[in-house]
Amino acid sequence: MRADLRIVAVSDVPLGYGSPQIPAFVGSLKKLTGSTTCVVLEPDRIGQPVQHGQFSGMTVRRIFTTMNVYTPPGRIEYLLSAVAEIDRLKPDILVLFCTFTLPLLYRLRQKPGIVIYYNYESVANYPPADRLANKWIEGMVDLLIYPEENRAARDMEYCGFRDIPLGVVYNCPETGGGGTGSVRAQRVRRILYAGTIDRQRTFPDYFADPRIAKFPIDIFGRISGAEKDDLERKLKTLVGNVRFRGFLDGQAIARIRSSYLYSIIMWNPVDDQHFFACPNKFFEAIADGVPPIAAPHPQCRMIIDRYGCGILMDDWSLDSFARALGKALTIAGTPAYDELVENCRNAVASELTWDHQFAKLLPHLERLLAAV
Amino acid sequence: MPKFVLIDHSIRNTGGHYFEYATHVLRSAENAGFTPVAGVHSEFDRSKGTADPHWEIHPVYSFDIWGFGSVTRRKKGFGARILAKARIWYARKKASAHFSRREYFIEVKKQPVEFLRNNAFRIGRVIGWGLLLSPLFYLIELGRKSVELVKTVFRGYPGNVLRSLWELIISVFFPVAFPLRNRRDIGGWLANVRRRRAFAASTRALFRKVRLEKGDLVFIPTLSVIDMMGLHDFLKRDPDSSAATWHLLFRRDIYRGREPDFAAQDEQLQAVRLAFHQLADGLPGHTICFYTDTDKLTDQYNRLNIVPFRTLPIPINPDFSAGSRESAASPLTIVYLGDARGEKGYQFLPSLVMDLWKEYVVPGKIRFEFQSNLPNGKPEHNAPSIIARALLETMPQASVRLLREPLGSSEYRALVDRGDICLLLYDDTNYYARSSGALVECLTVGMPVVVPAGTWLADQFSHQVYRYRNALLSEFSVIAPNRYVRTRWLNIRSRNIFDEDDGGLSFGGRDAVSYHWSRIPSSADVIHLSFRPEEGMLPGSYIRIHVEQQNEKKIKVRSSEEIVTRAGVEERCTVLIPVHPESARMWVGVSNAYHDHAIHVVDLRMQFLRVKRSGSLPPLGAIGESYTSPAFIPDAVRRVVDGYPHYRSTAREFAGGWNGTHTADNLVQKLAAGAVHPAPGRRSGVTHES
Repeated sequence: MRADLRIVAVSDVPLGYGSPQIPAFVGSLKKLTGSTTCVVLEPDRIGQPVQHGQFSGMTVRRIFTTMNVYTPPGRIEYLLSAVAEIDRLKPDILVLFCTFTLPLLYRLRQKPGIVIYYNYESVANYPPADRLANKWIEGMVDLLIYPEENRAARDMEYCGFRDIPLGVVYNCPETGGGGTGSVRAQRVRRILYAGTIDRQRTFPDYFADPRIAKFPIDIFGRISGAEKDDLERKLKTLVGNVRFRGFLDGQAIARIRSSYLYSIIMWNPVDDQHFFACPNKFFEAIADGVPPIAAPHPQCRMIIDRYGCGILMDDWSLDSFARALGKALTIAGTPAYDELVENCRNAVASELTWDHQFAKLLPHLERLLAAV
Repeated sequence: MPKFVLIDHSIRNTGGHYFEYATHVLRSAENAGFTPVAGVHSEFDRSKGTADPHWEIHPVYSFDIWGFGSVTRRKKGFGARILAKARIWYARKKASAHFSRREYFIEVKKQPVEFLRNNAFRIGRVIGWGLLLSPLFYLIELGRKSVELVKTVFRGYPGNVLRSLWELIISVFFPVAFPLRNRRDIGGWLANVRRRRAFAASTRALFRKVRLEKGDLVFIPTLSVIDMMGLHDFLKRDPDSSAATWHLLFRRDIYRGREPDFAAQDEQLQAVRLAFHQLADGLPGHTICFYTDTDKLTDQYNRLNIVPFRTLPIPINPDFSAGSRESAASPLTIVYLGDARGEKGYQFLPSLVMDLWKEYVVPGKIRFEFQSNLPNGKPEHNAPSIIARALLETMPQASVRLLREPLGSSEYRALVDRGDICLLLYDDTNYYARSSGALVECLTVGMPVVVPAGTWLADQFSHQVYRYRNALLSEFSVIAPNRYVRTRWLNIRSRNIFDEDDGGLSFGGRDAVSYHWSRIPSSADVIHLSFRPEEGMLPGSYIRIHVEQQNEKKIKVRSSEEIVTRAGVEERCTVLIPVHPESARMWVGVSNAYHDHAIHVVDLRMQFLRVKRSGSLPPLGAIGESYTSPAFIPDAVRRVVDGYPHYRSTAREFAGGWNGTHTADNLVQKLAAGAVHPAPGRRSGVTHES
């Protein structure tokens, strides 16, 4: 391996607002290669100011676009600017996060020595042009990374990905030790829901149902979707024990999470991406020793079945949700709850750390690095 | 000496299942006094392997049973390579064009207001783009309005006239338009015609080199209906072919699902019926015998009611025998045999390994060895297995060894020898009737197996498991036999449906489950449920028993599931479920496992049992374990590992009775006997002695 390899990563979101695997992966790669030149390109988004101070060891460059970056012309503008930047920087290792950034590969003047494609979203959710872009990457991408096995399989069925080495890295956070000591006395007797609130993609109306109203739940999150205003009105007028407490960013949620008894993880399985969910907050909760109450998304089911570190709903129905919450509160404050927390710690110790996940890629990375 | 000609067009090399099968059969045929001859795929190269040097082998077939032609020729073709490169170049250019400045220009014209607003202080840019955009907007607007006008004019009478005129023009070009419209179906049909003709031509080429004489026997151990029609074409045109007897073995299912599903599929099989009819009635001078290798497959083919089918044994390597294995070492080696395919459950392995990692792998109780060669074909068709292999490759090799290349005969044999437990995680629908050579090998050597319930694989030893469990009952004492426990069975409407007259119970599919709630005595070790299915139970019916145990706070502590079927005339279906230490109550549900029709079982018994002699609970299964869904695979493996000495000894005991059934000698004997006494057909002239 050559000394001082240049790394450039292209992100699909501004750093610090979700997708913690971007700085985690780039940081680990930098550590592995001992590189001193490490640039991350991020798109500009209104309401998400730069947070570059948080990411030591890497230069984060924001690319401004005339149009909103999440519209077709805005995306093209971002990609073409990123292409110009990459052609100028001539990296040895290029990391592309998500199908959103993949097409720039087709417009580069020269392929970098190593191209890593970290695809944490399903290709099927993108327009047909992106499927085309994914279908012909053989020989252009050296390593493909997915956060969930079933998503990888679905995308492979959809796009082929012939002869491209593949790794699966769970969305584990960089920090967290699975909670410490007996936690029964230290926690408020409440349950946390933090994340997207959207009528199509999640189940916010469950919280307004009388069967759920009796459960002590705190809801944090940004409301989105077509019926946003109506939903906001509804959440703000919740009665009973359920409280909507507005939006807190990821860091603030991380600070308060461990004071809760449980964390609710549930997406509406409207498509493959949501059914095969691999939520960051699921792994973050386990890392903080807060047992998740999770819908039976295959990855959540697998982890909970394996370690017994949470409560699994039977299905996505309101009845199942109510049953799971009831069960959760029944065991809260008993040795069974301590066991759940202990199992979170076991899960973290066994495999659910970022370092453990990154280590799964080492055989691939070492082979690739040996060639540059 | 009479010749024994084995035709297997799927044999491309000296390894793998097809070659193994042919080798054992030809060796037995030779021992039985035949001269062995083989017809194989044109890619076969005997110099690369272990084929017996004095056997006559003719590589003449151009397609295998799957319709794959020459793989190597496809790879080497210069023209094909150039075409593929041009295709990739074009696709990449197309993909690139979607994200170009031109595309930006097309996209931004849909949002002119945003563009102007956001570029409020970039006058040069706006003017530049404006100069380009304005004429375009103008033209687009003109075009849009013109289209509107044309649509309005032609929506009425002129439009109808034009449409009719267009349809007339189209019908003039019908001979071209029809095949273009249906090109995929026609292409598939033509490909089948090509395969049929190729099979006939290859067989003709084979028997130009091998002259058939009276007393010769031709055996085709695997063929599709298309191949069979190719054979028909050859037999019809070659009068010499009637000198030999012809033996056709069909090893794939023609019906999907289980017997209650078959009636709905009969219509779709008319083409298959006609094919068999054509072969049976069109060749009056030939002796043709038809076989499958499982009784369930035989029933399926006999359901066509055209020609009679019989069941042949599954020939395995004669070196495999119960005494051939050394005693189990520690750690136990858990093996997966066969290529890495979704149908064989390879995709379940990574999760299984991780589930058992901390409890069994880290303490050194078990290790894994998985055959992991990928089959031919596009990755799109085998994605879950490819991903699974990628995951397994990241695991420590000392504990998870992957054999990435296809195994030769001796390597395969060595893998079976190293294995202590075999995982046969086959698709439970595809293998309901189909056989598994790997299972036969494992049971022959006395290796415990883990298999899916409700399949041919589980059925091979389920009766022995019931027998074992029924005998095991003497080791337990019954705790407080309670009439309520036995008789209080409810249906979805909460009505008690227990039948006092015959001690029976009726239930249907998922929505018509019969269930029972009761408390579990604190001293109970095992929940015992047994019954006899009523005589009138439809073939292919299976019963699912689900037991959920809960603690005092009504929280689930254990979930267990079994699928059982008729165990034979004598044996009761017996289910024994261990009681979780925290269990206080339980829910037992009994339902039809795969269908909705009602099933009635009689002489139902439900009891709580306690081990008579103090000590640990004896294993509640034998020989191997079956699981009802992939979620239960780790539990099944745990049970076998925890009770390994017992499972191993019962598997060995079972192997004693099993040995000698599935041998190539036995198969050759049956073929020879079939040649002399063909099975009577439904219609006269189905099989004809020459």
